[in-house]
Amino acid sequence: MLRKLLSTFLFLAIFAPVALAQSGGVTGKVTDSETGEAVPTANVLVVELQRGAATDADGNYTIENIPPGTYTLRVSFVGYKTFTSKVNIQSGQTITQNVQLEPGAVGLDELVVTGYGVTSKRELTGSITKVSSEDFQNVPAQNTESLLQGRAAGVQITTTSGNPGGGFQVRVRGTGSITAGNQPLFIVDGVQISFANQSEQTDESPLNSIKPSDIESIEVLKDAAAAAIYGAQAANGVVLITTKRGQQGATRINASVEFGSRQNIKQYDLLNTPQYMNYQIDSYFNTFPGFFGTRDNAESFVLNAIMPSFGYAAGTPINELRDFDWQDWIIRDGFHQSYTLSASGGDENTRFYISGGWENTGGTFIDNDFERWNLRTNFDHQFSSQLTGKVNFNITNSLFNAVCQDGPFINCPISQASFEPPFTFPFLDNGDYNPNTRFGRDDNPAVVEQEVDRFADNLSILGNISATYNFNDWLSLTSLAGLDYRQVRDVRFETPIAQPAISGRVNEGIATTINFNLNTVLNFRQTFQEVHNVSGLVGGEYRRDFTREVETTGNGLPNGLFRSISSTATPAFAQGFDSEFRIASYFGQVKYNYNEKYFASVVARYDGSSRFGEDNRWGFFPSFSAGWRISEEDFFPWEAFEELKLRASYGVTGNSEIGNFAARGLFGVGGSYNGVSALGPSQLANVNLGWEEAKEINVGLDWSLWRGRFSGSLDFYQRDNEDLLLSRPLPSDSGFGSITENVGEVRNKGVEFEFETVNIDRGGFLWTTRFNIAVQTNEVRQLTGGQQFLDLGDDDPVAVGHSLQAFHVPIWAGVNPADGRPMWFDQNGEITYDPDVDDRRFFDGAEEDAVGGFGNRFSYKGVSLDVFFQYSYGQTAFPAQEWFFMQTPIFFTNVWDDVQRRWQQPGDITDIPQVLRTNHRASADWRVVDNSAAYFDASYIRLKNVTLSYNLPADLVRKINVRGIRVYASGLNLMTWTSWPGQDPEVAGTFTQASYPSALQINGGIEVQF
Amino acid sequence: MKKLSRIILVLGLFVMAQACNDILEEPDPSTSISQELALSDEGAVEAVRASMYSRLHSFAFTTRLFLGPDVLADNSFNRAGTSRFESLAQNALRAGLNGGSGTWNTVYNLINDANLLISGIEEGVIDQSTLDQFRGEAFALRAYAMHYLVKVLGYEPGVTPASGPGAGFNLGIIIRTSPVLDVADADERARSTVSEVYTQIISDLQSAIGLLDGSNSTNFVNRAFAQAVLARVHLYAQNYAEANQAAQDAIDSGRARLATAGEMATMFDETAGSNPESFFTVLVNPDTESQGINSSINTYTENQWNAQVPTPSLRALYDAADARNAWFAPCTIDNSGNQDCSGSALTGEEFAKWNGEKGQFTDDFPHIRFAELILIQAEARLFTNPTTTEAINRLNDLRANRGLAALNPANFPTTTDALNEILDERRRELVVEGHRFFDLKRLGRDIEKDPTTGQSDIAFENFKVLDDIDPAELEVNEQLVQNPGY
Repeated sequence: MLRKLLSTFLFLAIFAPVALAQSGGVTGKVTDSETGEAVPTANVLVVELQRGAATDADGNYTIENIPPGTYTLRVSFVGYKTFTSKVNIQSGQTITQNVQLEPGAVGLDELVVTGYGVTSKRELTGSITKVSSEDFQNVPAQNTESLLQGRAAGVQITTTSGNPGGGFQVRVRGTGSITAGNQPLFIVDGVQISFANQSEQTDESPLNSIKPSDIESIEVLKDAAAAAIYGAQAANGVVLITTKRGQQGATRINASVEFGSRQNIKQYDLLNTPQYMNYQIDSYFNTFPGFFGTRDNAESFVLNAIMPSFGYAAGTPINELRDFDWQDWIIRDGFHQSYTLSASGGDENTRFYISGGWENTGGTFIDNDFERWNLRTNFDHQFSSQLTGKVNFNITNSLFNAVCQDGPFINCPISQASFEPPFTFPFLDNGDYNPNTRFGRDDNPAVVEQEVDRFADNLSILGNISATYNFNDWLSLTSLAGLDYRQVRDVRFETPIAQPAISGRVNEGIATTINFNLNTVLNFRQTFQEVHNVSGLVGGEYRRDFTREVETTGNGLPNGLFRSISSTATPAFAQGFDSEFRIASYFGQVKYNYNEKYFASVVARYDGSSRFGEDNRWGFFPSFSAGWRISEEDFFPWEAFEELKLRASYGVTGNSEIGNFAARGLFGVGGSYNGVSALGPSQLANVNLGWEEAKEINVGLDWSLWRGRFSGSLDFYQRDNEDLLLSRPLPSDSGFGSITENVGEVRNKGVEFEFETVNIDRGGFLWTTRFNIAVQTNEVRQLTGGQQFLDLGDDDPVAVGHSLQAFHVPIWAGVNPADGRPMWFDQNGEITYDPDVDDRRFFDGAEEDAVGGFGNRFSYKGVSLDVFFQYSYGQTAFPAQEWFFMQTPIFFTNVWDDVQRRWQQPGDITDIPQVLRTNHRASADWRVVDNSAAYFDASYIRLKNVTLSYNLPADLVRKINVRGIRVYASGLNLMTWTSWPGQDPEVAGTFTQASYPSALQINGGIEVQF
Repeated sequence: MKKLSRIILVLGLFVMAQACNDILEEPDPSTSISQELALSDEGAVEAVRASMYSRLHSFAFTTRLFLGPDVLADNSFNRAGTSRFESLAQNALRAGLNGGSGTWNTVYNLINDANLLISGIEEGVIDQSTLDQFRGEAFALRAYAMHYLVKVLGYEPGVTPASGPGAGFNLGIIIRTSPVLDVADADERARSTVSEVYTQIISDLQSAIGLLDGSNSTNFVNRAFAQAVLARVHLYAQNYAEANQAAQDAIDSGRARLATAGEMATMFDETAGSNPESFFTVLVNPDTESQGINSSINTYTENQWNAQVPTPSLRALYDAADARNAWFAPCTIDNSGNQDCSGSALTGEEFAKWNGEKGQFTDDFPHIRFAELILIQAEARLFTNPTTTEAINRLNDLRANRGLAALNPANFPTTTDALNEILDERRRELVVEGHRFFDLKRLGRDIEKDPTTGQSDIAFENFKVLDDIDPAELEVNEQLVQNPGY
């Protein structure tokens, strides 16, 4: 019914008689209010039409072809308060509007992109954080996500891998789902981006397709009121990315070149050969004292019986063993180079932005780099005064020479750097691969470097066309069709040397994602009696996300020359499948404000998804919000406040990041018999399966004091994620283990605080400070039925009354000074040597308690210095690689030098038990008991970015006929203060296993504007 | 221009108007089909049948079923320094043949597939004779799977310990004879008694024998296989006359024959032709259906891990002239260039029945062999005749084809003497084919571990003779009762 009404309404709106009228225009000059000098390259915008122009060298602008009506004219430029004014365009006339810009912060007239629209900051009633290109133009970044890192309160960006082009985990206001996705919805220029089908050979960011320098702004819709317009996809927040567009005016060309280096931020302190041999001999002697009798006998055993398996002659004395620094060999410096060229401009009818670039960045581990080609074009064309068309087209090719990462695997360079003991080495004297490395020749790191290739080739096309029809100055209709296409080709090639048993192998997979978006939105805005401002929109949207994957493996290569599947002798593996989901939606919003003092907004979306059960196909997601600009009241006493606004909102959003076919009763392909593929019952239908639902309350305060000297906002929120998808176990004699149902509940609460200050603004010297912090807590409130634990036996069990990532392990009690045995506390607080499940206690968790960033910017006559810190407090994480492998002799892998302070004789007070090759007598195995000692604080403060840049003086560059020259030097991840024992606290997750650490980056570049 | 804009907008709206349930229902998974389709399409029904058979490729129906009972008893033990099946070899707590819950899950998945074929297929989807055949196969495999699980989790009818936690314990397993099509069908059920379970198994096998027309090859379930399984089940239930008769029916089918002494070395070699004694051989495609390097019986016993090796007490049973000595070979780890492992094997030898001739780490699995029927008949005749002569003579039929001289019945004056000889012959003949532990258990005998292994014997009264049910299952199903002692 609702759908029919909406369709009818849209139909009428289109064919309603439209007054035919001649168009008009606006022109004028923009000057500095204090000096009276012209302001060139300022942005002038007709807000309702989203059409703009840039002022020329003399500060003049012209915008033509405007249908008659009343519009908001907005003029903005860095370092000035934004100017807005109503202009009344008459038929056939060009009116003049001169503007004097006042120096200061952008402030309340800053435009903020919201769902399907744009609004000024003043009118916002929901919680939206904006990061604009001005904030990050000094941050050399490879990835879009890194632009947000530390800069948006409550938006937590965690690097998942430090390899160049690597991915990020983005969380808006914590983690609300247990089993479904927690990734926010990303929308680029109106097109929803698919996260399906990433490369399997490397860790890549799905936003690699967008070059950061092409981005104009990023808005994060945080609370339900702001995000509800995206309904069933909005519960994890929404990130809106808007790219740069051309403006009316002379063509501007921008060329930039950047060079840099990438270095590993930290290496482990590992044992050298004499220390390591001493450790091993101790371990044998301590374990079998009766057998060896003396330590000398144990030493003789190790040298005569063990060392030959590493290629040494029996009895080779310790001082003749090699001492090889594997970290030095595996970890390399990467070289970075990047070239970008862009052009933009246009006349009154057509505007364009074109940019292209190439970059190549080497990683910090062997045999690893990232290369990217990128081309972007944005075109705007004015067909008539009422009809505008836009085209955005972006094509990117990302190429990775990848390495195995994230896991303690014997063929991953990141693990190998600590797995190989110090007395092994990559090559024999004759140049052959050393066959006696820890895991043999096949997994010699040199073989991994030279005989194994992992390659990922990602071709992304992101484009959309849209048309906007302005019926008049208060009503417009926009239709948009967008495509997000991605093809990832993964190749893993192993020569006959790396895979001797099958004489080489080629594995190749191609994964394609075709994500199609279509939406139509009718926008309206009207003012009655000068004080009643009503605006809103109604629209519909359709999305189809289709993925396909084909993968084959061939074994047996004639030699190392051929790398194609066709050159292999035996087909070994083949698979192919596709998957799809569709969403159809109707949505609407009505906003009202009284004289820009009292604000109210109602948003609703009605979403149907192919993922939901057939009896629960459509969901309704409403939200309400209100704002009160207290500073506009007559009774408000303090002059210093330009703005004090109270906001409150409540809304319901959905999380439909569930399996594409989770609701269906299915028979799945699995196994075969006698040449017939088998179809067995794999899933029982749940016709009621639906979205997870988030109910969120947000209360916020925005302020601006002393002409923008101190501005900021404070938000409190509470979000209850309900109907979480969980598996209810079924009696497995039914042939089914479980059924998925909407049952769980998680609550997130938090406070977000951000401010910006202008500390000094005098004589051309400007010093500004930005700070933000988000404090959050998380609690599991309900699981299936009366269940208290999702998995009782787990160290990270998901338990009612605790945070999603709380740990549940025995508490460490130290090392017994008398005998070097490890001790824990039992459930009664007594010492135990063998804790069991009942001795486990909850403590802390892997969630961060507070995250944020702060930075300072200093600028004086073209020189500017940015110093930015990022911090995270309260995360506890388990360094699995280090804990399991780097403090035991049993694997003959290298160990960290903490073991040097191990217990050695009665009376030793230490935290590292005696070294043994077995369990300590009548004790649990210290190395594998997950206990509180194995969890480390991953809090950190990181000097994320320092950039020094210099804009050459205008009169100087004019002499060589260019518009501007900027040179800069920057460093990323320069310093880190942390007690985390691993390489990088930023990549520490709940369980961290040899994750590729972030790199320290040094860059220098030059940017020339013509 | 105005016209163009209207066309664009109308097109946009047209697509929006289509955004209704139809297009939301359209996407279908590419590697799954809906339940409705699976039960109403001829090709899909054949694929469901393939699913039932493919359960027999699982670890539970290959390595665990064929090797586990030998390890749990006295035929096999770990080579020094290896860990695969170590807890079975040491009869550790909760380490029996249920494999945690692996056997239980596999058996019930198979039973659900069988139930779908028996009563879930819509009318008229396939022709009646094919349907009868599929149902016959399903009845037989349902019975075979139930018998596997009931002998792991329950005592045989009437053979319970006189003392200890298991005294008088008579529960078997949950019986499910209709398919689970809806979450409401996945109800909580209690365990039936072993007698009820055996009644169901025997009834299923009789249904199978009635439905199968004898035309199936030995690569599928056929009537003779159902008769052979019936013989085994009757033997376990100590229905000796019925066991003897069912075995005879299978033998008379002509489906399989007794191999000769000269065929011993190649009987389990798929490259030398199919096993002449097998009534039902589960084919395994080495590329896609094998348990692979980590879990196949080949890598457990002959290759790669070589974890399970023959015990001295087993090897002492073989006469030098016994052709079945071909089922043992010097211990080598083939993958690393014939690396000698005889020093760490108990007898310097490894098992050689599962040599991976089919392909990498892959063998086919003969689920009942002709020789077993002779052994069933020998045992059945021992208990249905006044003297041991009939039984020993039946053993001699086998020995004649194993390169051994005939035994003189006069040397086996008592039933116990003859039964001991039959059990020894079963050890020699059926080693690493999944019998030893169950042979001791069904007769209420203690497990005498091989003395060289240092393991203590397990008395029949020990509660570990029955494996436990996964505790997680008990939490889900409140009607379920755990086995005694756990």
